[in-house]
Amino acid sequence: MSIGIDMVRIERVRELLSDPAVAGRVFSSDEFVENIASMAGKFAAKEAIFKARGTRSDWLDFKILKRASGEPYVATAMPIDIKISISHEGEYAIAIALIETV
Amino acid sequence: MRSIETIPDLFHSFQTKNDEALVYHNGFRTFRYTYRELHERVLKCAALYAARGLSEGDKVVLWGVNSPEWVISFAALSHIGAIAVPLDFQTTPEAAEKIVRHAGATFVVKARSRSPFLTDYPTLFLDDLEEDLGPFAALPIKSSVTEDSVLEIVYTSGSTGDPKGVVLTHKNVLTNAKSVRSLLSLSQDDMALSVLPLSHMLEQTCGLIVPLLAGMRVYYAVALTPSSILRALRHEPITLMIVVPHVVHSLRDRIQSRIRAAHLAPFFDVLLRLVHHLPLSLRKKILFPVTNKFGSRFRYFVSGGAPLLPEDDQFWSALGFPILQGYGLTECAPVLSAEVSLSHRPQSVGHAVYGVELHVAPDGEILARGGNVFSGYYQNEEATHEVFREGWFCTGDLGEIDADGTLFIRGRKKELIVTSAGKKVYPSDIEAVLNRSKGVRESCAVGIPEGGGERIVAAVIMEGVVDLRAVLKEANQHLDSSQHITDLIAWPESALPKTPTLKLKRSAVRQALMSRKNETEGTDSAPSRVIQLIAQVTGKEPTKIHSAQFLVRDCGLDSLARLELVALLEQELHCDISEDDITDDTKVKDLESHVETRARSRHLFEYPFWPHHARLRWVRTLCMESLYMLLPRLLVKRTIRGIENLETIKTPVLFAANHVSHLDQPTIYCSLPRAHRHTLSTVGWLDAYELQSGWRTILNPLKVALYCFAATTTGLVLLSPRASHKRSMEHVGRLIDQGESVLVFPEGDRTTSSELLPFKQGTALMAKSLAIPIVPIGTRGLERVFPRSRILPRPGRVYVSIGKPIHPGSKSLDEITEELKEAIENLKAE
Repeated sequence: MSIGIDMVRIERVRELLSDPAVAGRVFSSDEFVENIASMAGKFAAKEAIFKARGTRSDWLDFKILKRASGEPYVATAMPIDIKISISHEGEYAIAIALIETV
Repeated sequence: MRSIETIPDLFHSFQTKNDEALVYHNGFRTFRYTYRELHERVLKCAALYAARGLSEGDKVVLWGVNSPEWVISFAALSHIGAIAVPLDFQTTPEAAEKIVRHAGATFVVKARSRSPFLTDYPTLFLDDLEEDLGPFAALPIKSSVTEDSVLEIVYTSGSTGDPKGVVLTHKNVLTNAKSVRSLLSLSQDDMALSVLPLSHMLEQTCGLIVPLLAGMRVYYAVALTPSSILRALRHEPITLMIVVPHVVHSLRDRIQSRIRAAHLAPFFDVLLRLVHHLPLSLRKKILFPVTNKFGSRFRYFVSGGAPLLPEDDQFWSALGFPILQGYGLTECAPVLSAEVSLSHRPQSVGHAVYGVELHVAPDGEILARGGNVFSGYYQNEEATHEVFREGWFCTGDLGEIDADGTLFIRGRKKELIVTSAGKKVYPSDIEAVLNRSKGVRESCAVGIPEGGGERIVAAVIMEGVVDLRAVLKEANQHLDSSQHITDLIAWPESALPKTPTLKLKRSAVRQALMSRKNETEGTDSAPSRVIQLIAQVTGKEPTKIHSAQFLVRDCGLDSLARLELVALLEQELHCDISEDDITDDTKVKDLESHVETRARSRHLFEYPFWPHHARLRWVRTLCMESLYMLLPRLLVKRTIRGIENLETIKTPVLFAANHVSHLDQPTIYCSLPRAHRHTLSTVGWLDAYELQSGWRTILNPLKVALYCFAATTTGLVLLSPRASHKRSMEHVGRLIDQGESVLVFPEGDRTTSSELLPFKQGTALMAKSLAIPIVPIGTRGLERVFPRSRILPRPGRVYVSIGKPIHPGSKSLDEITEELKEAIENLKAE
């Protein structure tokens, strides 16, 4: 079992998203939502997953999506189970990832 | 047939045409649209817009990358008489807001990746268009669109001031497209590779409307790095490209660095000079190792938007790929003149195209008149008034027309430098000399007021560490004394300021240079471009970054900055790079050498494709027919249900089945009708076959051989969790492109109980990325014939049930996975 955590300034993610080429490197089409704070949370979640796995991979390998209930989940083709939790307040978004089996 | 006077007329002529019109690669697989399909979708899309309340005269922003969806949306707007306001995809959100407000747009059609921006308007997403069109019928539309109706408002920044909206009518665009069409030899065998944004009139008219008039094909791809351009050229019969000069320049750069890296440069240069007098086809044959990179069908480039470097012109024509140069402006929709003969005069931009009158005013300004010339800027009478003189449109460009009507461009009117000696100097002349200097990537010459006249100062962007003094000295040697540069300055940013159409913003450079007049002269050797970019993303002083430093540790490159850096390197230096190329151990100099040598990006994992190639399919068919078809005869009595579910679907599909035994794949193979089983590949995960250590290592030649053998004989495709999802999907996408269906086992492993294991999301992800339907298959009985626990199988009865296809559409991954699991559970129980 391993965990990872990441915090990001929402404004930086806004800047990143304003360049479509960069935005497309990090998020796939179905991950985009209007709310920048949510996007920042998703960014932090991906970063937290990299930390939990101890290795970086392509940003698009892990999609951060939301169920109808609003609960976030990770969609990946990799044979691993990842749990995440995301929060944001003021200028920052934060996310934590838990991997049960690697 | 009625004549084509409006965009709806043009599309109306497609309704019975079954030739291919658009080809689109979404990063994973290829989609093809015939003219008839395109027409149908446009009609449906028009109905969709009408249902969203859009009608004649409404202004609609179109903000996305080139794709069939863009084309369909654009055409559909024209059908209902709405006015498109195309935005360059790279437009910043702030500029986009400004344009939307100025245009008074009430509706936005955009890419999903732009979701966080322009949120205050009713919106449709280009990504969801196909799904949204579903409920609508392709009914003919009665509209009052005429040739004088406004088609679009295209915002250009010009070289100065605020954005101006160029109002173009159907007539403007179609007149121009027809003139260009008559100049180029095009047939339905031609295919244009689209590399410029459709918001750019050169691409829209010459890259879209002209090909549609000619009945040829246009190829769109999502990503356009130099390597993806070359990949497209390799896989599709592309015959021409519409470009701006920097595209041919960076392609040439790439070819030449490869040749340099192979130590063949002197040999190649001599060869280039020798072949110059030979016919085009022979040149291509002699220079085969280079020209074959462009595929066997590539014929020529069409260039516009900015002047072409003579060196690029010579290089490409020596290779047998001439560049046809044209001249035009957005205001003229856009072509005014074009060079059509392959043996054109250097630096000329050809003759006026049909229907265009050109005239040079006494002050040297080029004036134009014709059906393609716009009527004015949107809600900007002052600007409109400024550019029209007695019915002529003033281009603001200076030029000369010689005795036989050939046009030469001499610079821009307002950017003329007048020296203190009263001599007039064209900045473009000085830049041409500077751009030829070694190590200069681009330059901009301006006049700085001094002593009653102007002195010439130039800003340059350097490649690598170069002595500016030497560049200045060399350049002045090639210039007239009146043209001498007094001061050469390394521009502090990664690129010179440009308009979206890649014209230099000379006034911005001039202003910046004037404000730093009092500072010390910056003629020291400049930091490399890479260091400048690192400084830009990390916010550090360029002087504090050295080649020997580690990027992550010493330069403080965090993950966000790393992303920005990679994107900048790709956009600014046009190099192939991925984030994998920057690790904790990467030093600044490693990155510099990567850029310098135009290295290919280091991909951690490459899938070999040859065992899956369509040409080897017969081996697989032979093996599987002779071996697998024994199975039902010897071992398994089968009951097959639901075969009729396959009748309505066209291949390819994704078959998904439960997994209990090694005999699953052979049994399913035997149970499918011939058309489906002969094009069946099976996807599995590499780990399940205990090949974790990676079969590309030399340690595992046996495993590699085994893999290739299995792939060739049974169509097995193994995906590695080490490869990125994108790479894996590209690999499967290639299979789908050659008409293959794919069998997957969503549980990931064989079960030992009668219950299904939890489903992995891989199957849903694959179906969504590749946009193919999933056909669920449930098998029962194999758990007794050959369970996991047995070494040898025993005879028995097996039930194979084929379900109805599940279309991924806009369903969420969870929903698809759930639906699939339920379907397989039910089928299994049948």
